[in-house]
Amino acid sequence: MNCQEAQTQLSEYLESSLDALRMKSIETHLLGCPVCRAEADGLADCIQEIARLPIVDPPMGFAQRVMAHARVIEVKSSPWQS
Amino acid sequence: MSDAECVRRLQRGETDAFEFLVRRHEKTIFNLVYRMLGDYDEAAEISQEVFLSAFRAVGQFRGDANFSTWLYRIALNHASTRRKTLGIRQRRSMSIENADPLSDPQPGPSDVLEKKEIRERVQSALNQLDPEDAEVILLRDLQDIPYDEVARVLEIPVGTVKSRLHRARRALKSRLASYFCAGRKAV
Repeated sequence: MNCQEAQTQLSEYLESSLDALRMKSIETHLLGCPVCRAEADGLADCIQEIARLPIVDPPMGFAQRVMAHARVIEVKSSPWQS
Repeated sequence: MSDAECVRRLQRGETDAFEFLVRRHEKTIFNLVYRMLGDYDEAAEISQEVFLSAFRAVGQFRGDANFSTWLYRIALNHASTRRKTLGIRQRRSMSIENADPLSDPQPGPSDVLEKKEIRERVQSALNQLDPEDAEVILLRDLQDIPYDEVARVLEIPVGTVKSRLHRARRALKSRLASYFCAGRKAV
């Protein structure tokens, strides 16, 4: 396996979503190729940092506000209201 | 009550069923939009528009996809449109500290600063990506949505999701490269 072949499959390799043979081929390539190893480490860092972003709560009362607007839309669109 | 049942009731005119859907999906949609925009107040406004768009259009929802898939698609359409109109502002680093809870129970001051810096850098890098790159990264790596559902949300083949995701991750990596390299040297 050459570097180009390895690098195009790195994302799937990092998610372990390749078949066993391809996983092994890339693993072997990475052991002997510092350039591709660095690329794999960088991609792994990115995946990890995105997954670590904290889950943020919506503002207090968000659902109530949405429902209040929805009820206004409902009234406006009801033919018997016009 | 399942999403499908809520939708059926809503389509029969039971508006209260919509509240189940809003409460069930508000956090996911809000976080997706928030990370697309990097701005808490904008995310609140756009997320509200997302739900109201879904409410208006629910009569056209045929149920051949999951409601959540349909909602993600609406959310990304709204967020991408707003992202374009915010173009210049998106290039600035935005403070997200007021909105981000800290996950460690009692982090020390240096931990807090480090986490703040990491989040700001990652959010800033997300802001600089093409919207379609940011979308695929957030669906897969933040929301952990399976490839086949990402494909349905984005209306592209699974193979295209994979290649786009790889391209997007490389683009993100190039924007964070100096930071990661510095981190490794410091270890």
